[in-house]
Amino acid sequence: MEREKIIAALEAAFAEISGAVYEDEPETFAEFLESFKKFRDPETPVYWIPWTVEEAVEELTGRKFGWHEDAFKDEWNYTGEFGFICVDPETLRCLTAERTDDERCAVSVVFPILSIDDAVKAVEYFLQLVQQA
Amino acid sequence: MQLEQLTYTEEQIKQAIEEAWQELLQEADAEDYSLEEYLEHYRKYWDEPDFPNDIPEIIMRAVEEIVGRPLSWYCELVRDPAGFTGEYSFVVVDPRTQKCLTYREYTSDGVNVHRFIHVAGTVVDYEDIVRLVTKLLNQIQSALANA
Repeated sequence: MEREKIIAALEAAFAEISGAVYEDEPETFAEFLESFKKFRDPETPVYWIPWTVEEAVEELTGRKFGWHEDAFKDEWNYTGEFGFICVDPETLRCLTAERTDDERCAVSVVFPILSIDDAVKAVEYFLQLVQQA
Repeated sequence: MQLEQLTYTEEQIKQAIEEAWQELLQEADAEDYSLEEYLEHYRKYWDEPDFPNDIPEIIMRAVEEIVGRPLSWYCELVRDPAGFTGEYSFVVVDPRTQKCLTYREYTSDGVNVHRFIHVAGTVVDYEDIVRLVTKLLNQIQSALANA
């Protein structure tokens, strides 16, 4: 899928999630990420980032999924890494599960998301997972 | 025991929790102290960066003991700006089928579907651990019944 289409889906999702859609001079997702990268403010509504990625994936696939997301934090602050788990509600299959060497499987994937490019990469990964499923 | 024949009593849950605790002590080569003593430390230091938080391991080892086989799982230690809240959020997946065992959905207004893939609970004391293990087992049982 073209990068421009993914960015448009991300920006539309972010405007909805952040409420920017109601503002005169709304902050874009790219600007929000830039500011997050620069200041890593612990009061940032950091979950807007994974929610935006998830919403964009659902918009681009025309499907809904079950999600769990985790914003990683070190001793002081958010690291900019996010753990995602994605479940297909039709099959209950965990799309992010990956078999490991032992009897178990890893269930989450982790992405650093500190720029619009990182966010595009995360969306592309999930689109590929949905396609494979 | 097969997942499909999952039955358990509160007594078995408590025994599984104790076994999980003893296992962790052995693996850490730690001196013998009770889970209650650990929980006293836990209540004081749970938000210290170096505090070894064994709660998710205790809970999931107890669940696996009752289920009778390994499960795949993810646990988030839920934080707010002030720090760790004491809440744990578990996603459990059957490694054989890769199906999520903690998925559930409901509609509040008949239109919007709310989807959850985790089971969450706050742990402050021993009874909270028992409650969370029970909650996870109930959810796993329900997922299997609806499969």
